[in-house]
Amino acid sequence: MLTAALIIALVIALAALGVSLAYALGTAAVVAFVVTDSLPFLAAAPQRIFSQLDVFAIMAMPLFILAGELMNRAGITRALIDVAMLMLARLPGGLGHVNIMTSVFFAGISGSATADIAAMSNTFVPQMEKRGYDRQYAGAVTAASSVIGPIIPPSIVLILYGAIMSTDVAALFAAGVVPGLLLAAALFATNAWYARREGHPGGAGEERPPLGPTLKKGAPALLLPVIILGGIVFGIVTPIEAGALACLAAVVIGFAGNGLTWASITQALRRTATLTGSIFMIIAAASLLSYLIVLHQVPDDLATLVANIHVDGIWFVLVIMLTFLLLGMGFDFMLGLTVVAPLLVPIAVMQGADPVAMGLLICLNLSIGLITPPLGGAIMMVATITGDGYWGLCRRVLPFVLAELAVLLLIAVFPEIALALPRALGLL
Amino acid sequence: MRRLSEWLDRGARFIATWGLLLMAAAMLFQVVARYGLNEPPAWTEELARIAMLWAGLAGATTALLRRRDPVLVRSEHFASPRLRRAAHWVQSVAVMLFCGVVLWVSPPWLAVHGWRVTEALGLPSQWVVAIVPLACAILIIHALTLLVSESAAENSDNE
Amino acid sequence: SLASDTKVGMSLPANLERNGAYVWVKVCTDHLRAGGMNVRVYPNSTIGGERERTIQAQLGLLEINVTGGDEIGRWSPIAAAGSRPFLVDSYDHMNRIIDDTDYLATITADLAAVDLVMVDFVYVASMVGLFTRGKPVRRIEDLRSLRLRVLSEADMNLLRAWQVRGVQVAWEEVAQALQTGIVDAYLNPPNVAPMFGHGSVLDYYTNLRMGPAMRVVVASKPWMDALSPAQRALVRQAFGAARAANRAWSEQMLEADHQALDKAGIEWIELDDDERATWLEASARIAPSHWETPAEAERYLRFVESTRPEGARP
Ligand code: NA
Ligand code: NA
Repeated sequence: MLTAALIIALVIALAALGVSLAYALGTAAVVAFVVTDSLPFLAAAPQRIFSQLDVFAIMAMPLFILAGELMNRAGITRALIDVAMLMLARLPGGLGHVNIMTSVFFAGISGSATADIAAMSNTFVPQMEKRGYDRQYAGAVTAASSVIGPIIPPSIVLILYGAIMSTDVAALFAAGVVPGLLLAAALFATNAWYARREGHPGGAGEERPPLGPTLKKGAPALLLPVIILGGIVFGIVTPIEAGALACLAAVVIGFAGNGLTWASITQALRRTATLTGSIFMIIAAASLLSYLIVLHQVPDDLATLVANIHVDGIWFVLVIMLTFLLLGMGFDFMLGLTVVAPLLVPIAVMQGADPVAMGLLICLNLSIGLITPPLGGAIMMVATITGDGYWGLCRRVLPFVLAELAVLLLIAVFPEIALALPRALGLL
Repeated sequence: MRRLSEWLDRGARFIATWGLLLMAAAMLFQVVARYGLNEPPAWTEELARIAMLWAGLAGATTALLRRRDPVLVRSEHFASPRLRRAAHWVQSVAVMLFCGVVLWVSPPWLAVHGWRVTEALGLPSQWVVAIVPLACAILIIHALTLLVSESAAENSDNE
Repeated sequence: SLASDTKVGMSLPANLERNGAYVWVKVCTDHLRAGGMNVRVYPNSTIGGERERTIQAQLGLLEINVTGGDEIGRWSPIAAAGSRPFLVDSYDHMNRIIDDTDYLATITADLAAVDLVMVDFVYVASMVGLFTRGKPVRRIEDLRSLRLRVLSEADMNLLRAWQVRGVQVAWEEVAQALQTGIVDAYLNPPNVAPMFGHGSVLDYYTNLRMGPAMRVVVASKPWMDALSPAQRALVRQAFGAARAANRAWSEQMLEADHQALDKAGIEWIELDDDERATWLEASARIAPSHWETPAEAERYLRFVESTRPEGARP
């Protein structure tokens, strides 16, 4: 216990000094081997790292990152925004709704909140400000709606979860659809509430993009999620192959629409490699910590502890959710995914929780962690791109956080909401 | 030092770019083969996996050099230059400790892999896994470079 | 301390009823503990997958490892030859090969070069047979209208030799593949279908007796070499007790499996010698696996024939 506290304190101290998460974890892992008298077992480190990365399922992650990078550069984002404008611009709080709707569309082709924010911060925040929204609110909607990205499939978090916890990625993907739409509904409601309270612009007078050309340009982009999801769910392609197909589609659409050049493809490849590499190093460092934890049979002790304090069923699931909520306030999601989830989830599954539902709940939780202060990765990114104050954004985002937490609680109590679709498709 | 880092970085970028392309191509070929050929080849998966590992770990070295790894606190925002330098120093030491340990224990592990070949392609396993210590070695060199010249990253960054 | 404890790794759950490998491990570790050794058991691949555990054993980080035959077949041609189907008639026959020939000693000699020691084969279920959906199968011709699920490239050789159509499907996807008709049959020991809830989709089990369902136990050579003579004697005793317990467990398996299939509504089909001969013939055409050599395959066949129980036909 003391050792665990020491290791966590070391990670926090290093991270607070600006050390990147991977190397803070890695250093803490090395120190942990020393203080637990396990030094000889560091000999397994290279194999441990190699094995954790040499997983076929992880491949979907770089492929969907690449697909997202290519789509951003291919002008697909612009087409999606226009379609959403067509549908929602005339409602009160119209641009807020458009922002959320575009994130729903975008979620169907991209795998992460980061891709969503990168695509939307530059486009929406200035536009919303021009139409009379306050700038921080525009940023807050952008950050809050980016959480939909990793929930509606494809999803890099779900892919990593599937790879780390040996859970079927196709089933996880199918389980994400309904919760993702529920998230969107909750955000629409919150935006509408804000619009009434603060008298946001929007209404019948709002201009809309022309119908014909907009649909024509948006159609391929909207068809893409149908193809990706349909292909995975009906077993025509694996999630990994779907990632490769999405890349191919982005390149084809990009060249057809003159949005893509060879130089931008090279850029997309380089960025993908860099991002993948960063995630790889975190997985690598975390794999040493988890090896040490297993060697000392901590999970067994933890299971015994949980059994002795008689927290089980839905209550234990809620305890896990609370743990991840707290984690999300302070840490990058990779820490929860690679170190904490493997400790707690097997116990919940042993108590009868569904592994797919647990996977979805944890990913939802980790994604909400992107917009929870004090440390919300998505808010920080929006603040960086738009040049807004971080804490002001946090304050404006808070009602959205509550709405999303309500969705989380709903699914934790009624996991069938998530499981009905994969069950209907025969994936469970 | 800096020249060495830049030279290694060019190599790493080459591996990363072509590795990702190879991986995507192998997966696309797998789809074509499954619906086009009678007996889908077993090597596509293995080739894609190896390409991903090499590309990803090469990407890890480019991420370090450009300070792209996820952080909780951006040391660039520290007000005091002395504090900023201290932070960069700690980061480099952390990289060297972690990667140094992995590099240090690699030789016996590489020897054990000398007794293996990969399942489908029959490649020497040693060569495939060598990317782990190789990436660690490059990361250590980059960490040293970042210690010596704080600005190495910003200069070579043009994405 | 962790380093001096004896660590045992395996991929299956620690279940005494269903997992013959755990029966072996439990008796072995009880024996070691009684002799004063500290033991830790890591089931469910928690300490790593098959390849990772083998490498840990080779590095001396994991003392005893229960793993699949592939993990040693790559270094021991005679062990690779041992995976050929229809050579061994029964567990009684397998026991004789292990007890009365140099089979294990030959494997041990092969593995010494890669820092492993061959300890034992453990029986984990009744012998491998054929589950089918919709159609009872007695002769190999009956199987030709069905699609057989296979696992790996090596199984493709079996399909070619049998002239049977097959599909490569991961185990996690088998239930779905059976339901949608992508797959109509798979080869496995009789306890598998009830264990994985395939009872409702499968209709027949043909008791082919293709071969033993075994895992292998290997030990880390650096660890064995470092043991004191007294410790080595204790370890040897523990291995012997574990083997006896595993063999006793396997003897009562067949009857229990038969009953479980009855309960699951799967009809049990026994083959007569004529029918089984069609499978034997076809299997003789299976191309040698990647790792076996003609000389060692020949040697293994000699072990097999010299130990065949009297009255049993080849
Ligand atoms: Na998504
Ligand atoms: Na948005």
